Amino acid sequence: MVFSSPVFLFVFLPAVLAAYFLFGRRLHNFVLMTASLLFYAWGEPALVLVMLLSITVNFAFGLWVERLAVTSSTTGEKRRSAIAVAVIFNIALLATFKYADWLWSVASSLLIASGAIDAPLGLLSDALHLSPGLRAALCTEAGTIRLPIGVSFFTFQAMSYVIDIHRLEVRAQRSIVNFALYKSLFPQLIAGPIVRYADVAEQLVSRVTTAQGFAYGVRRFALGLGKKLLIANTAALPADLIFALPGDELTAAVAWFGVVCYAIQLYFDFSGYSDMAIGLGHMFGFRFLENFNYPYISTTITEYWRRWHISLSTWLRDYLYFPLGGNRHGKARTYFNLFTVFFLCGLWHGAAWNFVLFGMFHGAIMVVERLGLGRIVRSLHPVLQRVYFLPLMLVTYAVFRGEGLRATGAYLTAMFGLNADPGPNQHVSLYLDAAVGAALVAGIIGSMPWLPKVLEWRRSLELANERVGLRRALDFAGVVLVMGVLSFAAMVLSADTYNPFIYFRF
Amino acid sequence: MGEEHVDPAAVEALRGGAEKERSLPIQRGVLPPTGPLRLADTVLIVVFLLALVAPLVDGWLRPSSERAMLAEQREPSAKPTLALSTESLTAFPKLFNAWYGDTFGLRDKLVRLHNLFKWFVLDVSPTPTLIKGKDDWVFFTWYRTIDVYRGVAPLTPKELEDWRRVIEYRRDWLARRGITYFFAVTPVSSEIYPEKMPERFDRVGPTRRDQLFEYMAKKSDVELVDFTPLLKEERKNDGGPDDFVYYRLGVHWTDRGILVGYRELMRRLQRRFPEMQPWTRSDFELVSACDSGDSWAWRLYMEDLLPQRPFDLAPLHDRRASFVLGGDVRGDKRRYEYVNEDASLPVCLLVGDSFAEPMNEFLGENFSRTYGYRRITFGADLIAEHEPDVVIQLYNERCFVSQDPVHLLALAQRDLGPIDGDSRAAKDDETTPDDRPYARFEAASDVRFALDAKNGSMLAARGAAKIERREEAAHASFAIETHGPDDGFELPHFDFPTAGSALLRMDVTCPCATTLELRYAPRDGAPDAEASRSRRILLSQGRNRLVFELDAPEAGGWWTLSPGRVEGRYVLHALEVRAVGN
Repeated sequence: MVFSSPVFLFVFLPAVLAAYFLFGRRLHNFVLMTASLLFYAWGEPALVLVMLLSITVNFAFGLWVERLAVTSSTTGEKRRSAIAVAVIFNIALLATFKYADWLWSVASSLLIASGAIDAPLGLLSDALHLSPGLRAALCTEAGTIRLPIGVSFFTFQAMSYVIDIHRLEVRAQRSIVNFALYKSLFPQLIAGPIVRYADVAEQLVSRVTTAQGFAYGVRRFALGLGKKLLIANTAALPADLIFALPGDELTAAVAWFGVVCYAIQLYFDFSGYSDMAIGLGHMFGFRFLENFNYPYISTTITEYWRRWHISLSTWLRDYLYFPLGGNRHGKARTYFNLFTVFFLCGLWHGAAWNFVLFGMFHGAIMVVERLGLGRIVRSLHPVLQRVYFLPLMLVTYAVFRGEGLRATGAYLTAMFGLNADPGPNQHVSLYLDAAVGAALVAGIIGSMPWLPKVLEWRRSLELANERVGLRRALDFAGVVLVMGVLSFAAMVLSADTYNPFIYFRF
Repeated sequence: MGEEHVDPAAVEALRGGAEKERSLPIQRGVLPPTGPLRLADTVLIVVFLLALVAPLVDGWLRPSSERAMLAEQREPSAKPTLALSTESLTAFPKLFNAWYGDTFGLRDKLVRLHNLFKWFVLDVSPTPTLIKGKDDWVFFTWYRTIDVYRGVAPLTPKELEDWRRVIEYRRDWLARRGITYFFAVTPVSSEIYPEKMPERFDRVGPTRRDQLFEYMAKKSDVELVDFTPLLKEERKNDGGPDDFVYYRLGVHWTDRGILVGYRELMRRLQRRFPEMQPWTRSDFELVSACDSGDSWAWRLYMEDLLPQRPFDLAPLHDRRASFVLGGDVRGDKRRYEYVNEDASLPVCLLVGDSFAEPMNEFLGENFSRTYGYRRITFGADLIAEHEPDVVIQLYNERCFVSQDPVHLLALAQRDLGPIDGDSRAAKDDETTPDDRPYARFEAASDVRFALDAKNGSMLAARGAAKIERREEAAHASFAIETHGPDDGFELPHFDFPTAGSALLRMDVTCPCATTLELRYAPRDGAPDAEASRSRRILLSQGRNRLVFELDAPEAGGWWTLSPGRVEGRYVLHALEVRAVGN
């Protein structure tokens, strides 16, 4: 199930809210856990078993790792072995469902290139000779292994959980219901943020739902839904069309326009989901960390990663970069660590060479910025800083969005104006109507932190107890804005179900 | 395993961890929910909760018939049932999403608001199926119509040659049997009214139609018919608002456009049939249409705000042809048949798309029988069945995207057979009974219902309809005056066959072209007996004598007939139901 669907908005959410607030506090976690598993099973009826497996095994790992961690007779090697088993299990789970097909095809290509085999290996699912039942449950109709929704998120959450226990930073959860709720909590289940156990451990057993918190949740949810449905989905239309064009028809202007649309789509889609997750969390008394902090106002790629998908970048910092040694072992090792982390960061996004290249690209830029470019950029005028950052970011987005390396190469060629003769077929105005224009303008405005500034100003008035009337007007303008966005979002949701039968009269 | 001791240092560290948990910055949001409860927060919560349950409330309060997706002209997805089986459990969410997405409360209102906002505020089409042009024109986008219009999706040399081969194959096969063949193409409306297209859709090359006609002129002697120049000429006669050769809010040609096409076809046919007397413009009167014609406004839930007042050509003389058969609107075998009083005239087979269908009515005047089929091809069986003197294939130029000439050639070779083969033998040797509905109707003797003066008084008006008995020379007829789409009449109960099917013959005069809807309820005990069902049949303006088959053995409850969305006075001359195949 996705948040941006009539079933979620008009059936699931009201039903869960009603059940949650009608039942007593003792049942709150059970209600939310049940709802979360139903939410997951609705989209992944068969693969919910993978989620249940991950819950059960990691719950046991947590207790086991803690027991070894607090037992003085346990050797360090034994503790390390335990955490290694837990981490390997989770990585294996992720690798099986997310990377196995891709690794299989890479192996096939390598074997062909080396001359070991003459023809491709075919599908992994065929090679495994899965039983019909297992094949139906685990594979798509095309025979590829199905990707459980949110597997990257809940696997990383599980790893942080057992590693934090190993590091003696948190205690293992002793209630399977509470742990299952942590792992499956529906607001953050499918698109993050990656909620660390330490951040919600206390809230799992003791949290307070206030009217202010609920209202805040409504605001965040509605704005997130609007970001997704009104801005991201509209910007996606030209982006999808342009990235599907033959590379030799692309002009530089169209290519840049396409990637700008994609940048708006990506940010408002992802941050919209995070807003919805944070908002829904607040409705049920949970407070998740922010996942985005206006990344497009960054001046360097380094700063970008402090503002973009914060839960992932901090996860990689704490569970990969630091364990690799961070910056404690000299410059060369630091650069190697940075590059390695971003290589894996790229791979986390998906099993494709484009994501690997994206990660390596970002890792390399981070290294160069650390070598001194970052310092130079920060010394420039703010406009020049953006002239450095935004085009660079967009080029990497073209790599991220590209449909395979060949198409990506053609796209980049067009972006740099190196297409020999793109012809007159494509121009920007073909893709730019009023709806797309409005979404892009809203996207550009929404990428800048004017809303926090307005709210900070309103708070300063409140603290100074000044201009009561203006504050009230602002508050009610906020209500109108939120409900207006929600209404438009509901209209777009309904329009998605609009599907007239065309050949009726004629 | 040795004895285990709890490590105090580890426990201390864990306590530290717990402390760390509590001291974590748990909220870095831009709108921290602190401070006293504000009135605005209370209002927001109340309004939000009301908004969440509003569709549910609307679903309870407003009957489903009022919320029905009439404008979308499709049945909503079926409500799924849940069974305790793996298949049912795994399929249920998807089916439920589809059903709920089609039926949730306020859906129609929200879709309408969405469409209004996009059309009137953003000045764009609410659906990707259309492009909104200037002066409230719409243009279809399916089948790469815009790319083809711009000339950026040309046919390849191989595709051009494939088209030549398939058209020549059909022509040669028919010519060998003495049958005249035309392949006619109508342009899309943007070809005739390019100034109504948004300027951003510039033209950079020839269309596929341009390409094929140029190629065929050089490489083939097949006679292709391109209506484009004539339609461009005819548009100079456009009168006032909505008097065009194409519908402004639709995609098809109007009566004026069709007449141009008809006259061009007749001009070419007169070379072989010089005795044919085609109708001319002076045989018609331009009258305001009694409905909005081909319009997307209704389908966009905006008919009230996007009016279209097109014009029809009303014949000044009585038509010689009668419309005797109309297929099920959604059926794969959609078929039309016109019969002319003058049996000496030749026979025409018209195979085409939605642009060809209204042409049947015009051609019917000049042929003893005109058979119309909505198909991409035809086979020897159809030729043997109808024995036409003329075969016309008429398609919109979208066919050069939607149809694959390689596939068409394979179909022609399979369904027609070799060019020199003997297809007429099949007809000569035919011993199977005529399976055409009207012939089957005549052959059937099991009459289940026949409208007459006695049971006619038992017709029950539905909605705001009024029924009035009229005396005609030989038998009673009934005038039915309707005022809305739900108006109609219910038949007295009759014994519907429980096996086989029923053939319904109807003789009705319509004030304009419309869609008759037959709604029926299954008999008690039939599966899903509480749900009503419906069938739709196209009717022409004027008198329609039609027969169609209802293959629904569960139908045994009430029958209601609604003449259509167009209000007016309909005259029911005859209505009879006969059972077949019991």
